[in-house]
Amino acid sequence: MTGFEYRVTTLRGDFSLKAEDSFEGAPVSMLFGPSGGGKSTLLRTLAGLERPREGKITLGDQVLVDTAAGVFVPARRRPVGLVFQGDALFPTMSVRANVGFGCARAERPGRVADTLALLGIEALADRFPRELSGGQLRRVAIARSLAPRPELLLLDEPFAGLDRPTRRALSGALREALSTLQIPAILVTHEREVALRMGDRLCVLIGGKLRQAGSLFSVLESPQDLEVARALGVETVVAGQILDRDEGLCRVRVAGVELLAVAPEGTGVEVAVAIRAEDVALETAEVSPRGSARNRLDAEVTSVDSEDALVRVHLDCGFPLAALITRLSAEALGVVPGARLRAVIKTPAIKLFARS
Amino acid sequence: MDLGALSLSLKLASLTTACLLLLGVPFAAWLAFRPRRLNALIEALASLPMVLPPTVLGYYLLVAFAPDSWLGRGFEALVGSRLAFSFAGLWLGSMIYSLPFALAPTLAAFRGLDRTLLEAAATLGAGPLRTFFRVVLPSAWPGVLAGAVLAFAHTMGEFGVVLMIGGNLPSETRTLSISLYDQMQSLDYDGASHTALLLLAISFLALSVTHGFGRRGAR
Amino acid sequence: MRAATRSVTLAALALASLVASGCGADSASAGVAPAPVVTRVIAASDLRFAFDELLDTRFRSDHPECDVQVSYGSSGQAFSQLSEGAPFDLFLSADIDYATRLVESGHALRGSVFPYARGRLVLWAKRDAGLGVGERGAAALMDERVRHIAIANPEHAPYGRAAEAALRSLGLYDALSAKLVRGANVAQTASLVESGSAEIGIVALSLAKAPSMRSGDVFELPLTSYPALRQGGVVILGHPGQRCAQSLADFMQTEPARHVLAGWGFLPWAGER
Repeated sequence: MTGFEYRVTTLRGDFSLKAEDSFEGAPVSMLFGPSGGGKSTLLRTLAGLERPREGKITLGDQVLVDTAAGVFVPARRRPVGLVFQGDALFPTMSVRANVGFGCARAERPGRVADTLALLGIEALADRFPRELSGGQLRRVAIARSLAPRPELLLLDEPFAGLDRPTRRALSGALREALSTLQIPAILVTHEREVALRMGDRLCVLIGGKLRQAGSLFSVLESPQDLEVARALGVETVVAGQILDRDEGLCRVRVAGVELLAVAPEGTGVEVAVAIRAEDVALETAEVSPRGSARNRLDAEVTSVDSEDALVRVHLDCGFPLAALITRLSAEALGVVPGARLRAVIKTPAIKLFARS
Repeated sequence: MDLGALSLSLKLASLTTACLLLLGVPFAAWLAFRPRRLNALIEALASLPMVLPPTVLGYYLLVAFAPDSWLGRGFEALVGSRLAFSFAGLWLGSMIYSLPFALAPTLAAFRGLDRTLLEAAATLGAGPLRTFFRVVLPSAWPGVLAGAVLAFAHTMGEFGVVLMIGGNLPSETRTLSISLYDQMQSLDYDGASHTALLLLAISFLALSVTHGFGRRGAR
Repeated sequence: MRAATRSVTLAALALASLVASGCGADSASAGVAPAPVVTRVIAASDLRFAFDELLDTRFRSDHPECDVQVSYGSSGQAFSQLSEGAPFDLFLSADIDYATRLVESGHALRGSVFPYARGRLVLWAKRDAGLGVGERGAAALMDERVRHIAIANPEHAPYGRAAEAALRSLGLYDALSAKLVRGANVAQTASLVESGSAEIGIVALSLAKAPSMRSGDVFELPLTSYPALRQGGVVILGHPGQRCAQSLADFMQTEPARHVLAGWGFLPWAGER
């Protein structure tokens, strides 16, 4: 199995979906985007449960769909596995029977044993779905789709409804299984955290269009447009005007404050300024700095949200700004509403998008 | 108690139920899993006998299968006897009259299935037959059985259609319900009350069984 | 499932005990003689008790080769069924005209039409109803306690036609027609009165003599008030039991048969008008 490639267009009532992507090898791709964006539809189309209006899907040497040539391989003949959002385990069958369902009779016992071991659920072999917990059900569903050794695995929100420790354990087990079997996977999620934590590749699907696909870090570093940036969790987006440009950099005025940023393409003056909370550091106001950061803004803390080991701080620098820092730092700096601090933003961290 | 009538009724009900299972289950599967715009119309037609007065059904059967009609000739060629005054005629009447009773619970059970289960089976390489026997039936069998039991009980108690087309021939078309009618006319109230009690017990048995399976299916 | 299992078991037990208890031997058991021929008789319902006695006392023992099975109904209904080819071998009608018409339509054996009795019409009401039918006769029909008067359906029951004619000739039809309820045949009519659905009825004398009708008062309507109930039978063509049917037809015209019929209230009738 060398590569996977697809290009599909689908119409469902008012909703239209247009997506294309390709990869080689066995990466884990996260298909990410807000709810209602068409992710499940795309997954089902790749699985063969829905027919695209127009498009082509090839897996290795096999052409699964080619509307121009009238080719459509139905789901049951595609070497593609699908893990459903609700698990969809067969309630009247044991775990063993479920997992072995897609295997040829001769291979069944061996495959079942191997796959159960791979997912760490050998002990559950003779239990029934109604006796299992959420995390266990998910593992069984994954095992069932992996047992027939598909050439591509699709997963629809596999972490939905699981608590954090269960998720961590499951994502570890899943990654290991996929890596051992060298099976590429496409994983749908609407949760930013899941998308950003797991995965080698990131595909952003918004409003029925696949906006950007590529390696995780390349997408995160260079979101294609504002909507993608927003979807990826850029917290601060404000309007600004470019004052001047010089050698690839530019000065931008945002609500009376000046920032130094990398100049965007084009010559427009009106821009949207996007800053990720992760890229904002805080320091006390007295420090006279001599560092590389060019953007130091006086800020007042308006509110503080605690998130485990991190703290999200909302500031007013003349415009609303969010910073994500460690709890330790927050305590050391005395971050409470009303405190006066300085926000520090690296120039490359300020993303400008031309406004039309 | 007319044992001949009892055995005739049992024979008729068993044969009708067996045939309805054989034909009705695929029909219900076809209606449930291959939705088409025509489905509503087909379902209405199949359910029609439930609201149709039995005498109307009997009348139309007699007219449609009159000895000189092509339906009647075909029936005689296939089965060896005419529709009227024969067990085969009762069987046909019962098939039509009890069809909705067999169909409704089966159809409901099939429709109540989680569709993603069927899709999951497809992604795992199962064709329609394998999916039906390994995924659909194991979950839906209470509904199928309820349909069979209802069809059986309904046929046991059938009166109007049998009266219209049967002719009250002992050992051939005198079913238990006709026998009861006869006993009333003979003023044989003892016999009548035994027969009535038996029919009542059968209906009650059928209901208990279907309720038991209804609860099982809901779990 | 437990509650359901319990009720299922109870119902099954009820069913089983019922079948076991209700086993009074009823249907005619197959005779000792090899393979008796099934002979199907369709008879007017006024013959219910009389004909059963006829068969049991003489015919069955004399003719073990014939397995006689009887269905009862109104003569008109029998006529229409026979016209459609219903598989009977012998027709005993309460109106000999039906029998004759079947010969003309080719369904019955020419020359086999035979008379067997003349029927009689009676008023019948339960003694407990206190209508005093025995003393008052037809006047009891006008009693204000009478809400429903049962007669057989004149459309296809000869006894019903006769009842209607009797009411007319007695001048009571217009006054009472609104209260008439019609039974499918004269036996069902009798059960309508016996069960209390109708307070009074006009039925066959042969039925009024049945043991289960002993709870009633009887008044015979004058023979002149209705056209004679000329009862006759005929052998039906085209079905295997024809020979036995002929034997039965012959038997119906013998002296012992007439004797039994007379005991049930039938008048002898040899075919004269």
